[in-house]
Amino acid sequence: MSHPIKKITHQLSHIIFGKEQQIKLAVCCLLCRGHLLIEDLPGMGKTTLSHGLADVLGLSYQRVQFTSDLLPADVIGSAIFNSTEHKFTFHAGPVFSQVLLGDEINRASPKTQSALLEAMEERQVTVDGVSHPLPEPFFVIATQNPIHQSGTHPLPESQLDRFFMRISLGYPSEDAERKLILGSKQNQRLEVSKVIDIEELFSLQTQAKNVTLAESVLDYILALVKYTRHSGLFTDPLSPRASIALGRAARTWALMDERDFATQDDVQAVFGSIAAHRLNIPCHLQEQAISDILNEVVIPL
Amino acid sequence: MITNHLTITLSYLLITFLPVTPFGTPFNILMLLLAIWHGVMVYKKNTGVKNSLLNIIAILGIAITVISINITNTVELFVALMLLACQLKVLQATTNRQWQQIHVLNFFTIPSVFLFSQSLYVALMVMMLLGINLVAMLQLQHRASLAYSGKFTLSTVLLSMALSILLLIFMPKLPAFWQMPGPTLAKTGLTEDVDPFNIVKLAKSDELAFRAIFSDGSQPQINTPLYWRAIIHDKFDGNQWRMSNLQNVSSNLTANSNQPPYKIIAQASNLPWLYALEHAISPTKAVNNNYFGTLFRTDKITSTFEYQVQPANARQQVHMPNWQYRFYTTLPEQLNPKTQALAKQWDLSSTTTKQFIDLMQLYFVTQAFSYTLTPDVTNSEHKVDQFLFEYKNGFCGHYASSVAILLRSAGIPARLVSGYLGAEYNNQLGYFSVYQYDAHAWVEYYVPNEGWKVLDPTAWVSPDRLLGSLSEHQTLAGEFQQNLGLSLVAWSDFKAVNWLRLQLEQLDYQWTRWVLNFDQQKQASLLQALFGAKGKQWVGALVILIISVVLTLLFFYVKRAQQVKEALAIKRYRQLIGLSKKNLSAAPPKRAVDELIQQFTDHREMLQQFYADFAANRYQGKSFGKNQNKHAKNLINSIKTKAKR
Repeated sequence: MSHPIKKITHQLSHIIFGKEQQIKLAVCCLLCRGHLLIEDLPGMGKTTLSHGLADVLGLSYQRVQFTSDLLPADVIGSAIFNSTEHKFTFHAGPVFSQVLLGDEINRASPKTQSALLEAMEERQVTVDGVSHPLPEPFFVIATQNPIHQSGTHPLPESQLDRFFMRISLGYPSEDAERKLILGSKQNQRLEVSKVIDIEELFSLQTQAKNVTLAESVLDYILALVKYTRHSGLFTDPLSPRASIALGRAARTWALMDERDFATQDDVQAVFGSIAAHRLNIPCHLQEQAISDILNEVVIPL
Repeated sequence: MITNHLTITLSYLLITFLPVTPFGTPFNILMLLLAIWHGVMVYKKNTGVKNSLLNIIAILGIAITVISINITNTVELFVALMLLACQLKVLQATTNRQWQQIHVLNFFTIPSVFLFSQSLYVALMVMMLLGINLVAMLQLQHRASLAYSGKFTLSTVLLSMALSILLLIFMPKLPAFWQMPGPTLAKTGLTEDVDPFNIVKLAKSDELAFRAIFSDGSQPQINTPLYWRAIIHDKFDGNQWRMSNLQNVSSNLTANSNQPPYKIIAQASNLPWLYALEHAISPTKAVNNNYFGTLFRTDKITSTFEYQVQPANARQQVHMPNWQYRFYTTLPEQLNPKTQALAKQWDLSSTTTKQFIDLMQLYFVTQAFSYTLTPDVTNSEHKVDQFLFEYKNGFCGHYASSVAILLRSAGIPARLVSGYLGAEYNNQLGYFSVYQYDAHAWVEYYVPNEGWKVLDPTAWVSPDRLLGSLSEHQTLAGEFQQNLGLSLVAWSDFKAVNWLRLQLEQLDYQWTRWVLNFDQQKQASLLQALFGAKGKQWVGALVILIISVVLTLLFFYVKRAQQVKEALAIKRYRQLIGLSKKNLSAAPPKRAVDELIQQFTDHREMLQQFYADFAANRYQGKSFGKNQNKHAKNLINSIKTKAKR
């Protein structure tokens, strides 16, 4: 339990039962300084996980419930007229926190969704021509309902690409669900405690950069990306941003396994959550498509 | 890994405290403190000092460096700043990439010691430090074991040494494109202005001044005093003896064809003045002789320099022109009245210069003057008076300058000469070594119709100083050794130590002669001896061609050797997964091996070992060598035989 990453995943396993892989992926995403999208049906523990992540890293967070009538100013803030000083002053919105929890992001109108774009990529917000930098670190953890549900606006591809990873929790196992029923108290959030501070988080991010990415692993990433581009099976192949993400995630995954070199196994482990939401394939075909790609592409040794 | 980082700091510290790198105490203390800080960090397993703190230290450090080293000594200043920057980078470094930068930079930083000294010992030290740097680099970047990186470093160093010998001998010598300003030296036996009366203690240095090589049979007799002239001081201003500008004006002298020429290899002195016996001229380029018959170079001697000396005839002068006579007898009138009176008195009671000198000698011998390296310091403005009538002790500078003043007071033209007296003869290789502690001052006086004559008043007081080097001087041995402190010469009474000293000295001689001074001329004669007059022109071009071909082949060989080694790990892996009942070709290695472990539970440990070797080779750049291959083969055979049963 000495390794800080082990501590994080251990803490989170107290609130989300039997989903070690998804928890690890979510932690991996945050260690890569990436934004996380959690997609699932209502009531699967999306919000619990996102709160838990913010708590365990000890980061300040604000939650925004996205609705169809939510306006951009409600997220990023706005300039309000100060009648005593006779000028406009900027009032920071909920986006000015280390973690922004965007619940049901695809219920908001495309205009509001796009307002998040600049914040996520540039890590700053521009209102009335004045740029306001966001705190460091800055993560967006958003949850969304599957697209086919009523009253949803699908996120545009450009916005999806800005999410480093997308994970879905899925139904819990029978054992886990049994524990859930017995353990849950009405209207009470399960508590997790902060296990690492920001200094440690930064140091882990630096360590991840030092993980060796061997030539053969690099070749594998390139082969995977190339396959999505040249096989003709995908309308939206993977972008260079996706291949950079694959490299970073593979390194971090290796670090989480307490290794200082990444392997092709690490690439396979993170490939699904990095590639699936960027390839623009129907929901029910995604899992099959990812495993097809992994089976099809020859692993360079 | 972390101890490797400390060795880098230690090598900076070693360079800082090397006697040849005179950075000054404040800088040395600064580097020591930074090294201790790094040591504490390593001990506490911390890495990476905050940038803001480092920037403050850097600014302070630059200030200390500039104070410690005079800003005009640009070479020392830049080397010191580079050392400081490297040390700060070491403190800052956290990532492999930063360490990589440091290791690469070290290949530039460490050899910068050569700017200060190119002696054999420094060369060996630089080679050792580069070796350590290479080992650390291999361990960090290839995660190689200490044994492997040590072996690799050794073979690389040996290979590059063979290459550099080849390049030294055969590569055509090109003239330098540009020259560094030489660093100023702290210790030297010669000074341009002689002021003996203000010296409390003459710190004798056992550094080499120059070596002289005579052709067979023409060596000077061992038991004659050898006066190596270097600087003529012909102006006395009441405090010190100065050079006139005649010192660096070229003049014509005729060669004395009765005497054979000889060679001198001078060490760096940062002065332009060269050494020769009696009057001399030189055929070597850039070496001139002046009116006095001493040699000088147009620029300062900042590295070892070899030149030819041809003995010359002194300028024949029957009568000294009036202006010259006045020049050589000028003294500040109001200073040293007692000395002037004494000289006048002797002048009246003598008819020839010879008689005058005899009277002087009588005075020095009967008044119990003594030779010492730690003289009393005068506090009066009449320095010579105080020396001659009160203290009566001193070293060569005192005797020479007071005798020259006595001569001038009596109207006899006189001048002070500084140079070296004596030499140590090396029997085996037949050359003379002259050290800084052999530095000496004596007098030359003029006799009409005869010319300039040598007079060494120190000999009256301490006659055995004339014969041989100061290191062989019996009566002064105790005082001499005290002044030298901890050096091998100080212990030369012990036979074994003296033998060792002479051996080291001989080694250094060969190094200077054949490596440092291997110049165009020597190369040309060597090549001619090897290949004849015609062949030598082509050797240069041929060598460059051969070297480039060899390097290209080596490059491809190394590349291919790596590929072959890599292929071996993959080959064994393919053979292994071929043994499985399932098709594992689409699975990544770790998953495939885990699958194999499930199938062949008996071979769990061997399979895990194989995966470790495979991962080390494929992901960490380590070699998949004989042992690993043997293990993999055993594993495959073992699984096969098990399956047959």
